[in-house]
Amino acid sequence: MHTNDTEELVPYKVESRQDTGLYNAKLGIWLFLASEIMLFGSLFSAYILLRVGSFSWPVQSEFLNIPIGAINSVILLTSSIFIIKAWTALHENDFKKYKKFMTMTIIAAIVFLCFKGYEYAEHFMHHEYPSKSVFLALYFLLTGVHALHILGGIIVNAYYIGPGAKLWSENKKWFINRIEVAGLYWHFVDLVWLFLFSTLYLM
Amino acid sequence: MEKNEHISDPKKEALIYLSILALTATVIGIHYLNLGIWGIALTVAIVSFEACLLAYHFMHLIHTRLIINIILVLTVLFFLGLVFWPAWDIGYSPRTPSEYSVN
Amino acid sequence: MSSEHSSHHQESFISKYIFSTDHKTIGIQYGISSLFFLLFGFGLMMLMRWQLAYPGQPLPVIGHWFGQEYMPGGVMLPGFYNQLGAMHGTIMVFLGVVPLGFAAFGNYIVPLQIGAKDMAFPRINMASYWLFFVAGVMMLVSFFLPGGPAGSGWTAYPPLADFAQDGQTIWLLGMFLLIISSLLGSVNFIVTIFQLRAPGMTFERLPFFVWAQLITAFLLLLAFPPLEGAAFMQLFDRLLGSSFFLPSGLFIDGQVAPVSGGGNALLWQHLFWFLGHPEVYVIILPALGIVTEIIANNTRKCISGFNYMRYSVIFLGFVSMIVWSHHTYLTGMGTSITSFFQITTMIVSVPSVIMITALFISLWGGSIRFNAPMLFALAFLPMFGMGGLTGLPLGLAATDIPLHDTYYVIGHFHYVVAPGVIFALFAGIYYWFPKATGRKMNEKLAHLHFWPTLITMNLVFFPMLIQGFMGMNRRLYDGGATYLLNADVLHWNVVISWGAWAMGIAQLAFIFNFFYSMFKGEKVTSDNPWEATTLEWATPTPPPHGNFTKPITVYREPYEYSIEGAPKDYSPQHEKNI
Repeated sequence: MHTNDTEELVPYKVESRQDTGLYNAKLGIWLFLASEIMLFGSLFSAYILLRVGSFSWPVQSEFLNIPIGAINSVILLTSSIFIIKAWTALHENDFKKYKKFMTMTIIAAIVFLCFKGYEYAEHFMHHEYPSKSVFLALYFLLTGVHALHILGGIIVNAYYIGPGAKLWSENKKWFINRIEVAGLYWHFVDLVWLFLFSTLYLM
Repeated sequence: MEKNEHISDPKKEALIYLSILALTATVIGIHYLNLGIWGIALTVAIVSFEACLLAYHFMHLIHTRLIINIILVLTVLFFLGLVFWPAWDIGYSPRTPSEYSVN
Repeated sequence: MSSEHSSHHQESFISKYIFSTDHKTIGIQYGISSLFFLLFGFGLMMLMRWQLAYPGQPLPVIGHWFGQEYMPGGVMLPGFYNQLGAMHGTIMVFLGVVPLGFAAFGNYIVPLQIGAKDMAFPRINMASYWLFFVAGVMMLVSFFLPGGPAGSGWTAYPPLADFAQDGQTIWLLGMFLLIISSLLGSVNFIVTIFQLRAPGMTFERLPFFVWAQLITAFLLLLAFPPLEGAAFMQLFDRLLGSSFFLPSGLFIDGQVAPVSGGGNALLWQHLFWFLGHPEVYVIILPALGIVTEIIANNTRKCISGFNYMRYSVIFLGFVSMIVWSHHTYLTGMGTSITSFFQITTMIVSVPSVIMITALFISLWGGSIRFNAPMLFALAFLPMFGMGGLTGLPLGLAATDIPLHDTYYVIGHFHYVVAPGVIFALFAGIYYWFPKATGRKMNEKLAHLHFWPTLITMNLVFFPMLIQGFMGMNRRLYDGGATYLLNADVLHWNVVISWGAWAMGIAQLAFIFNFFYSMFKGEKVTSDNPWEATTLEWATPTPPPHGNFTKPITVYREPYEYSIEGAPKDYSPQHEKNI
């Protein structure tokens, strides 16, 4: 692709720069995650503001299924371990093992979305829509935005066992960096879920 | 990559994994104890600790340059600021005429 | 504009000029687009000014172009006036001034000034531009929707915005794309500045423009996401019937609104202004950066208090994130929270004052060259100063009570943005035009642009301060005619409007100069026609793909002008032996 010409001009894509100790994408992803903290932060702050300012608040666990939420927490945390193992496998030069664990990460994410979808369907069957109450609106917004992030992660991870996997044969180190960056994003999505689960299901 | 990069330590990974699971089970338990505001405070504290475990060990924040740690801590502080002031105000503002003080 | 050499294979027209990943091309794309949006937003305002000067009168000729829905018989409907106002603000801020200052100048100049070959993520850079472009198109297209564009202010306050016409939804979706574009851009800038500096380019040796861009990028990174969250919420309210911002017992059209209630309209205000305030520093910082470059260059001496300027800009970035509620003083906040924000607001004015003072002092004893860039840069100082000073009564809660939501506020913020920031941006265009095109813009036309613009800027915005003091409310489609208290200051509306239209005519000199000089302007005879010290002048003109023809090493600070013992009155950063 023609655009690769400009890409070639950029240093520190693979090796780290001396004084910062980072390669470009690593600094980039952490900055992006900082902005994501602010995004989810604003959603959580809306939750806090609305709840603190409300006269009455529903008992959340009457609307939400704690066992399913707990299962989802385990699934997502396990997928975090899987992506770590995928990255480790690359360091051991074991591409097959990487592919196996990355696939398991994606499958775990899909299972998570299935459980979430089931929960949403249950809500809709009982006419529990965002228009019903502010709590429900917050629930759908927070979990919806989170689910979109899971979907994004699935797409990126799938790319890196699909067409993106070609990069492994071109530049191993660069590919490892990409997977590390994808892993950081994935751990963040897991981290947000920990807060989401406790705030929405347990408080 | 970082200088002192440890690639994998399966034992530590397993330990952190199980710790986070155990702590999650704990907060679920706290929910069923119905401790009110203290339950909320405890849950927030425990989940924040879980988040730190995840960030520092899975995300290798412990091996990452200080600058990134600083940026993240600043971000969290800004978030707390974003939340605290309006929440405090909304929580303590009078909402009905009867709640206004006489003077 | 960037010439490609045969260091790589021939690129197609599309990949070289349309979907380019070269930061200079992207910078120019942002530049042309944002200049167009500035003109468009200016046009919206000129239309509004007719209604304010001659409320209820049909606008001759032009008024009949807008059809029955907006201006039946050439008379502007109140709803259309509001839509013009909302879109004027939105387009000027988000599609005009910020993309020009941060994205256009930033993209073109920052990699050059740090000695890099391009930005850290060229493809993401391209994506940023096209997201911005699509968002801009959406905003423009919304004028053709049934019901028209958004009309709830650029601030989009609920409950009004929750129930407004479809244009508001397009506004929200457009903002969504803009925010993503901006986030990608800010990550790109920060990584570029940290990682791609040339050898010897320490942070102390960075030109102030780069410092300003770095802080701006951080502000955009951390302040925009809450607005993104709020936009999600308003979309939910509008499309899914939720009540994030709708309190219980809300009456609409004489009936209780059929919503669940339980929301809070102030939630939107806090989330919006959490972005909104840092946004104004996003607007001002690139401008300050540009002015510093030009003043150093045209006084032939270094910037006095440069250290203070650097610390100030970092401190400013910090504090600007914790002042936002001075925009919500009149919402019934308690005294403690009001005091907190009043204190931080007073504190945030200090670094700006330090920076402007440093620039003023830098003029002392300088060998001042009054060229086109310098004219605008010099005018920036007192004009921005006016704007800043008029902000002080707004920052103090007690004095804000009579001034909030009056024309005083409009006068204040336009002083900082219009004869302030936009002058600095003009200065930057006149200054860097030779580097990008190899030709200078015409000095006579520049004077023809400058003097009438300076005069009309003051004609337009100073009377607004007077009107505001008398209590004239903003966003009134009849220019305040209904209210008796405005009677003594109504006549200023006519003065302001004619001033605005004259200002429009004065811009023709610039537009003509810009395009004419591209092809017929006086060619520069050197790569460094202004005899400047910073690295962007060390490239061929215009810079090729990859920017520098030799490896760059930096040996000194950015503004080493008139150094004792040096052979020339300027010592470029990259030249070793001086």
